[in-house]
Amino acid sequence: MIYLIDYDRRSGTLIEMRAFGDNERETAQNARLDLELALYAKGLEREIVLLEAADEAGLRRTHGRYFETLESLAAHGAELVLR
Amino acid sequence: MALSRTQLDKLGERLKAGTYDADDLRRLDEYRRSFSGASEAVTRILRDECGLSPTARPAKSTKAIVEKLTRLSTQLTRIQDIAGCRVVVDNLLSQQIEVKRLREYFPEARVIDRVVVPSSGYRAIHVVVKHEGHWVEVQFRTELQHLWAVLSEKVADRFGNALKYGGGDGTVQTRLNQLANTAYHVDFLQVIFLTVPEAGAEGDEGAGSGREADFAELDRFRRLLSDKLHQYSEHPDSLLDDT
Repeated sequence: MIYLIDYDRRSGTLIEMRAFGDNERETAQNARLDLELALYAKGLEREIVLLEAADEAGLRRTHGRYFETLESLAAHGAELVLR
Repeated sequence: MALSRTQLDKLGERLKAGTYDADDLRRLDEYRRSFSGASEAVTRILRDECGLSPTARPAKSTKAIVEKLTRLSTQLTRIQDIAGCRVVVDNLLSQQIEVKRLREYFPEARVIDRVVVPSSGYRAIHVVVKHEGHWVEVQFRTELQHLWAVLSEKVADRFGNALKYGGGDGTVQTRLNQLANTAYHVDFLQVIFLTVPEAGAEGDEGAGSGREADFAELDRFRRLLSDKLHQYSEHPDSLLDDT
């Protein structure tokens, strides 16, 4: 699956995530460009990135920053270390 | 028509100077799309040949490209991680094994090992491979290296991006480095358990007590790391506490 991530670093929050099928790469790339151009026109700076993973669970494992707060990441980490 | 190297580097200068316009964003997008095939090919090898679960990032975000151009004072065409891929493995041993395996497919790959000597606390092994003229950077991280990396990014989001590169608030930087070093001790001691024979093995009469001591040490570092993480989960601002 391909995921289009719109992340706001200042607030540390995921603004939006859109999922595309593996055969929709060009559609996903077009969506990324459209979003970047729309934000540029509004003078907004955000992190827009396409990521490809087997599924959302895999994506969340490798890119937890986009989905979790600092507090929840640290809490999950505290549990993981003792496992 | 594809942009020439000179045109791309001029584009990079405009990105760095903050003087880019919407057409420049379209040009950058065109350049980034040229990495798709290489990203796909490398991801397929990691997934199908190496049996791993990678997440591919076929193209770096505009924000990250602009930051890298500014921070390293480099050129757009010299950035080797426009396309990237991330793999999280269990431990240091698996990390070495998977890096070696990927190098069998890309013998010319450049390996950047930041495990023993980290970069601003960041530990990982990066393997930069070339496929049909395009670079792809593969990041291999252990669970604990990854935990630290994601946590430090989140800390940088909250307390300042400079923290990711050794700058920012000195106390937060110290706290992050302490976490990184403790995590490394846990990773390192875990490898001892994977590689040192168990007590009672033939010709290894003294291994038992040493192994128990190592286990006690591992347990101590695990608890230390877990307690610190628990503290930061409850009171993130204690990262700023220099007492």
